[in-house]
Amino acid sequence: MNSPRDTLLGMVTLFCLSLSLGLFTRLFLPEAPPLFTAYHGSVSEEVQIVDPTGAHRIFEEGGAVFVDARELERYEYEHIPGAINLPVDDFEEHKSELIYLRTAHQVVVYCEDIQCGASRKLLELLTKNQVRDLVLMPEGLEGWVDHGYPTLGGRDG
Amino acid sequence: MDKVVTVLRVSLGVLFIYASLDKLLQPVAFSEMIMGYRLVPVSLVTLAATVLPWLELLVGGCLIIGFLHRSAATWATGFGLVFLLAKISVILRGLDVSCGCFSVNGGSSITWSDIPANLVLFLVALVVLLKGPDKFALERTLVCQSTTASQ
Repeated sequence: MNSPRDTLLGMVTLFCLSLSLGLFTRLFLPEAPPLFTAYHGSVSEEVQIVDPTGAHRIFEEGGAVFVDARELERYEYEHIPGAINLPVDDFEEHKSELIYLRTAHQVVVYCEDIQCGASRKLLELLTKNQVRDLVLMPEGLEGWVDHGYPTLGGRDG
Repeated sequence: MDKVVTVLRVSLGVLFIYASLDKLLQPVAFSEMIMGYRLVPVSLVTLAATVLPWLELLVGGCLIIGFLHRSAATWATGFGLVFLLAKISVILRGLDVSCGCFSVNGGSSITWSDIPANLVLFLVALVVLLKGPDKFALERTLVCQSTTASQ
């Protein structure tokens, strides 16, 4: 078992065995996310997930509050028009905003891009604080900008 | 020297098994942890979270008993290098991510102080790989037995 070929064969065996065990154990995980689709994190089933087009439709209809979960500096640089800043790390300092959010028709939460975790963390906190009608835009501001939708600040000046 | 290599090999195996347990028990939280590193394409995050903990567990087990030694040690060295580079990349990009090395439930963010430990992990794995199976490894025992039997 010392030749490079044997080593490679052993590595492939270990990988295939791991894959098989992983796939097998998924059968017993009711909350297992789909294997190859874009992963949106462990958000509550009550949270509606929309793409930038869906979020823009909500934006056009009016009545919804957009919440930017990123840090203040990033928010100040560029954000969706009308969005309020609620950085997940400073949630306790912004608790006064909750009264406003509880009365909103819909609350659309976003952060930087599809890989940032801030919006999902903020959704958890908002759910715990009785904010309802929550919507997540996983693609974040990056997806919004890529679709050519308006922003304040940033690239548009 | 053989005893030192044995101790390093077994310690590395125990470490890998320990590191895999929390990830196996909390696959969703581990997926989120991988996502935070922003290195794996989003569509492959779940697959990575499905395979990695089992691979760590099997590599750890093989290292402890000394079976498929070179294959397991190569995986361990690869893991050591990838984890090291991933952490450096997270620090350089200014991301606020906790390590997720042994627990997927939060923890402090990755800083430069985490790098030496990872460097040691990588070097230990490399030594175990380069030294080959020691005399206490199951693989070597099996080879000795088959050689004796063929004579």
